[in-house]
Amino acid sequence: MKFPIGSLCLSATVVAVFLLVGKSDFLYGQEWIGSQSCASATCHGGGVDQGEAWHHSYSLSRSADPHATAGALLYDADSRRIVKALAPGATTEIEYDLALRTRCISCHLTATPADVVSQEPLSLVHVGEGVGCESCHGPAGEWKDMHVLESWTGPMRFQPATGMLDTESITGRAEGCVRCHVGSRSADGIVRDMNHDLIAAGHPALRFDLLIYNDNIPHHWDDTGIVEKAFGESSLKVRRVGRSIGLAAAAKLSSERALASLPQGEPSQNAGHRTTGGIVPWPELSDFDCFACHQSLSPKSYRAPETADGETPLQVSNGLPLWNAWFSAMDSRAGDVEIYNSFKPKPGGNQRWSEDAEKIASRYRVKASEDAGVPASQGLVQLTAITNDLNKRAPADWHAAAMIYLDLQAALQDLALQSEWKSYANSILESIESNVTPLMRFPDDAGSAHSLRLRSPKNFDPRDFRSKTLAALGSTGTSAP
Amino acid sequence: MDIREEGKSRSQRINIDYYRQKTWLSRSRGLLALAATILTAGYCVYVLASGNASHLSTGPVASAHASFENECRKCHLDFTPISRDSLRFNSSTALDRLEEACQQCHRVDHHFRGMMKPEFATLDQHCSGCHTDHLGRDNNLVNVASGKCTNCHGDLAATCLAGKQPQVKSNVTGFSLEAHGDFASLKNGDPGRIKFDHAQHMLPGQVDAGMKGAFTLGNLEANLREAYRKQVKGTLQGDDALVTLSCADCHQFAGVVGQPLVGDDEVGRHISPISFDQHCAACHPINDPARTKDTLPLPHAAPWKEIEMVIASKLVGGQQLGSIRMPRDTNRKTPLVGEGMTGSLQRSADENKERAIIAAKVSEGRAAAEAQCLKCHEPNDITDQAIASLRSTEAAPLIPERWFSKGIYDHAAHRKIDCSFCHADAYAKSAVGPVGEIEVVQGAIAENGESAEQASSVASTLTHSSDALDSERVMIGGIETCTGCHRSAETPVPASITDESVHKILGGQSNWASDACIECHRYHWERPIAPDSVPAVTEPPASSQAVSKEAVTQEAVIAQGQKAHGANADADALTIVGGAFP
Repeated sequence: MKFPIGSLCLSATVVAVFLLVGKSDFLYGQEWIGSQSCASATCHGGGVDQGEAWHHSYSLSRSADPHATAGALLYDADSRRIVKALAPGATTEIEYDLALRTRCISCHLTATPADVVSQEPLSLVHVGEGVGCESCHGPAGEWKDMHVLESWTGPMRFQPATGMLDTESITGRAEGCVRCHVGSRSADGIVRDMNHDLIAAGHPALRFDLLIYNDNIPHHWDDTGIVEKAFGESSLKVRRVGRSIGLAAAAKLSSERALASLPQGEPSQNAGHRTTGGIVPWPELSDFDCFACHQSLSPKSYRAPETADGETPLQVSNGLPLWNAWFSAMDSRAGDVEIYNSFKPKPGGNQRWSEDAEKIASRYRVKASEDAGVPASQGLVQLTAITNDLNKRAPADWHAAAMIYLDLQAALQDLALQSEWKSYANSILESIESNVTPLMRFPDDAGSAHSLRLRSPKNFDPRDFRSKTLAALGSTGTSAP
Repeated sequence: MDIREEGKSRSQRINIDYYRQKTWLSRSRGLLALAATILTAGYCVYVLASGNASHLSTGPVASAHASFENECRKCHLDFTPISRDSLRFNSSTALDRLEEACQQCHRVDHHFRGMMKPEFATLDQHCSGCHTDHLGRDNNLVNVASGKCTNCHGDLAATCLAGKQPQVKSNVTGFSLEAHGDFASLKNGDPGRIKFDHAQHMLPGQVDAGMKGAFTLGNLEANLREAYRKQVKGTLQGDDALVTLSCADCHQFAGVVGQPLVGDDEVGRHISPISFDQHCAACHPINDPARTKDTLPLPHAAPWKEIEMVIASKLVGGQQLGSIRMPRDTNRKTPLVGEGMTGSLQRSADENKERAIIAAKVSEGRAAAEAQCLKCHEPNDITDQAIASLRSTEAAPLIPERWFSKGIYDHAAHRKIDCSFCHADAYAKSAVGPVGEIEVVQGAIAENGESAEQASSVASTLTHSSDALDSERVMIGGIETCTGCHRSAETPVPASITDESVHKILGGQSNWASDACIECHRYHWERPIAPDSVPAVTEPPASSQAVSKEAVTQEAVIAQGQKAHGANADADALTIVGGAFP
């Protein structure tokens, strides 16, 4: 077969040029061409289940992926209720659209900095597209013609200046998700800050889990290909990398919020933001554990952690809710003092907070890379560790239990991939699904006019979780199959 | 010795009153005169009584006219000669009658008669000047010698009236680039409005060497896939085989689908127009975001309101079938911890808002469809108004149906010749050999069905120019592709077609063919039929039914071609009516 030297040289040249002229904020200012450019039946718009996965990736993702309806969702009754709470004065359709531009479309649509500051009504096509192809794969103006070359392979595609985002590595895919599913005030030159105001208005709190999110969207890629091998060989690895990236993104966001709350505002390079200095609320409550505050204060139902000493590892008892418990609860449980110290009130105020948060963000991005390099077969080790930990103590609260539950589930899934442990792991998974999973869900309140506001683990009992989990694992927790 | 006859002996030999004696001839003269008169009268009575006019004719008429051979007055006036050489020839009487008679069946109009000088106009009116009859049943009335054409076209300046010179070449004297000029469409450019790249489509998998995304059979619409699946050494290709197109996959002879090429003496020997549903839809279904395994592609060339309604229906239907997810749908596989026991969020029940959601998704679908339309169409051709006009039966196709705007071409007669001989630009170029070689290689794939690996190997040698927009160039060969074979009998075989590789491309057939004008050109215009002048239809004689049917069918075919060129009222175009194809 003839070696495609021409196309190889062409793509190498283009990448070299990209590297020379590339900007750090690489998506900002690049050309967005819209999902429609992928829709041809000879490209990615073929009939679902016909031919190779790439051939119908557009059709599958547009028809069955919740990202495709993220824009249309902004016009249902729940969204209108949220917008009404956020912007009571937005009584006309154009005012409603402007409120969406300010607060919502940076995540719910494929939006550019120009889109969020525009004063025009939203177009139906833009809304209908929702989170389009380029939201995850990057603006395609530069790489659309290149990506059909056989030489367009490997990490060079994801050099920042190409505009193409890495959706193939675990860390890359997680980084793509957290831009919205955790948030950022700088990525892509726009603000994606799902803060306490939005939660109070009715938006669900963000609890990103890469493994579940990746599992829940229809796979418009080849699950059997080499690219997906890393995702299939260890649920534990995917979950840990996702959590580290999530924590890093949350820390970065917290750092940016701290800066934006200062009177001088955010650094000038964050052009396109609609916020100005000093108007971002501080402290930003969505940085912290929701249920530390949102719980009944009656003595009977107060869920203070069981501890032997005066100050709990989670610091609930001293009135300081844990910072971003969804991501940090497990590390806090393991005694990560840097997290405690970084997210405590301290001299230096917001500036100091921001600097410390940046350090945490950097540290956890490194940790994510380390997690991605850990060998896959860690299921039994993790299962043993969790069992031993639970034998010592119950989780402090629902967040800590949730992290244990998710790690346990991932460890068992990994164990089930090994033939000698498969039946054992599956039997425990079934037991956990029956006995423990219901504890982790919040009570249904369908029919309530305020269903989105009242979801909390108000009936959760850590001791119950501990006993039922240990029961599912067996008294010793590590019995041979 | 000289012996002279004596007078005596002469008087003895000849009676002196011999002139008074009656002979048998003088005695029977009256009888013979009477007999001759009776016989003549009898012959006349017989001729008149029997109605057999052949005794008065110069010869049998052609079979097409045999049914009225004995009805001389259909064409002739009494004692009015029809020959231009006759001393008593009068065009205003004899030719008027003849033309009227011919047009009872052949609804043809004059041939630019109004532009001709009177002596040439007479030639145009003189049907039998070209279509000479009474030369026997087998006489081919449409086999008109080229000299009849060059009589005028050899010097149109002398033929036409002052100020009425035609736009065509004025001195066509034969069939060569110099004597005839090149084909009009090559000079006028491509009037088509479909963006297309033949060379890319001729590549195995439709991609260049070094590119991803080669199309496999599995990528085709499932219900249209079989038409493109080929035999590989007796076994049908699998779904992983590359789609490898041959010319005939899209360019098919008109005629009965599924039958071999139509015969040389039948009509329909041109290429059928390209149809989206037949030739494009397998690879290029118009899909929208609501295209799933349960839903179908969007209809082609439908009004946009219909498209939007179809998308809306697919959204609702697909959601009910579980293959389309709408906002708040709860078909996620794994609920996140913290969600409700059922993993569900409350669904909106506000119908107005639901309509807004559908409207947004429909708009997205329409935008996706439009983007696909614009792959091949110009923006002006996908408006509702343009679509409505294109759906009209009177609308000209967006790809011209014929490329010989002033002539005709018989693809079936040339079917042994490889397409690349005349349409070389339609093929991808290769670093390994000339176009002919490529065609042979690709022909082998198309006909024999090579494996995906072999096709891929071929693909690695092929490439095409990505800026080749075939809608901007006419992809037929020039007259030089014809004159190699179509030459006078005296012209030797040119070197250009004696090469072995060319011989193979020519399919091994004879390298000589007639260069007569009538091989490609027709003379007559269709005469408009006034509603009140349509002649009464009478049942034709049995012997002429087949011919009449053929003529009607040809008229339909020709009218179709005429529509394609919009030639009805265009004095610069040629329309052909009646007469058998050569």
